Amino acid sequence: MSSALSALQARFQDGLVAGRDDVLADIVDSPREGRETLFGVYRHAYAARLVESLSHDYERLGAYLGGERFEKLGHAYLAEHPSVFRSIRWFGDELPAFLQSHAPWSASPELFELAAIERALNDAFDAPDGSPLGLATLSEVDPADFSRLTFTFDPSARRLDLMTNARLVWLAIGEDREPPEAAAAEDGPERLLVWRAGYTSKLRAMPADEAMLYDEAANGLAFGPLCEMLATVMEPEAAPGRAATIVAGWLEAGLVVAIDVV
Amino acid sequence: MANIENLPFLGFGLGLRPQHYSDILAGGHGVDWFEIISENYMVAGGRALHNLDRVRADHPIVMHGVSMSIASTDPLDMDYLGVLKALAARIEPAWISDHLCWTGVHGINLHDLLPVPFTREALDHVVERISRVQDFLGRRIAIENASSYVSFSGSEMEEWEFVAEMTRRADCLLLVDVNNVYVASFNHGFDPAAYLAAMPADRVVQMHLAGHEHRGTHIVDTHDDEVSGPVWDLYREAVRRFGAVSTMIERDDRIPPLSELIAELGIARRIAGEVLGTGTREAAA
Repeated sequence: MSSALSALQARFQDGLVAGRDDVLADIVDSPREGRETLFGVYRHAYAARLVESLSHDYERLGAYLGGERFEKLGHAYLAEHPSVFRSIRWFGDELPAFLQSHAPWSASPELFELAAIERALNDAFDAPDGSPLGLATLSEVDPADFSRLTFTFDPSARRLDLMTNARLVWLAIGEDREPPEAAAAEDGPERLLVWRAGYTSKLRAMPADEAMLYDEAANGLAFGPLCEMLATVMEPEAAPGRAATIVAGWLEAGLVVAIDVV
Repeated sequence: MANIENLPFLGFGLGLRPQHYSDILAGGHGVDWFEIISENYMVAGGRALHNLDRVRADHPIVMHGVSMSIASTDPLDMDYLGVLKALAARIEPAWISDHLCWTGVHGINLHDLLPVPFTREALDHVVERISRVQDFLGRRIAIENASSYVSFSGSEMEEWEFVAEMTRRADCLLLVDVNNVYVASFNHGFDPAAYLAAMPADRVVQMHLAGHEHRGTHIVDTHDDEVSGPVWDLYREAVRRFGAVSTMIERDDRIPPLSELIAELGIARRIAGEVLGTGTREAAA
């Protein structure tokens, strides 16, 4: 739409997003105050509201960085990622990727991973409601079908692989303790599972074999091939038992919403 | 005075805020109804929707949006309106409202209620969009007067003339924010009572009350404090004008315990009772 109204709105928006002053020519002084100050109310509120929204979504990252550094990060993010969302809830979605790709934050990978943990928990919090199956569901399955079972996980569930000790940092801040020095994860990447149990977002570290099974099961691999895959990294004869234990754990945790025979 | 749609007088309500879920769900609080920020519940699932369903089971709800951007020159966001309509089908609100404002152009949402120039062009634009939204939602919507800090040199009419004409031509309802009338009247130097007098009373279905921050030369609509004395005085005038209209207090920051807001809501009940007589203070069943 090309009109006086659209041109005015473009100038007004440029005044907030790009700091341009052209719109001041459209504004009149009030009986008591100059137009710069009055327009400044909008300028201040714009950045303040969006940075505050980030501080809610990334509370522990904020605590880890400290107020001033987080504020600087928030303004840098806002400059590159003005919101395109109807709800402010989604504004901070790209913050983990921003931290990973922008100096000086990219030099501290625990920042990106800490943000990724918080984002995954937020996403799990309002993900679609699933109807988890209980452990008893397995007893209804014909044992002859076991090897052909596939599993559908709760829509809130998501996996993260962390290269740093970001989970320990996240944990310490949540418990109001001094976070540990940032470091590489011990023994290779740390496998995390984030999901919502009932109405509470949860997070736990997964053993490497469970994470491997989870990722392949999420891709649709059936129980039989999962056992075969597990047999390549452990005693083959113990693999089915270990796989069954893992699957039972998923059901007990309310992670599985469908079991199908393929 | 009954409104044009015979929408119910819900009584005295509060904005539904997560900090108060447990107190509200415990019951016995005496708040007649709640208003939700629609966008906060436009999510796929989880605790917020679950709690909203539980509150809805025992209370009328109205839906109040902040992102319809009715005055924006960007195209109407039909995806947004689709989700809004789906939420309304789930919640069955008494009515749906949003603001006379725009929130961004060129695909950007600034997440603020930005001021509209009171021009004939803007009036035509807003009227046409409200009509389309009402057609899509299959119901009249209520439009709220927003607070504003700037006036545009290009404005061709007063805000109250714009709002009255918009309401008549778009055949919509009105949510009169008494605090916003007061804030704008101070910031722009007009008589707030004259503003209220210009509103078509049969279109007013709801009133908002809220706190603000006085900065000497201007007032900022912060929703982080108690309703001020001058706003209570203006509310008394509004009740005289509009009669028994569903009224609520909005608090969005520095949110106190529910009991404090209920006590403050008691002031609104008392004022309405004094103006209208005690028989009209209670909500219609």
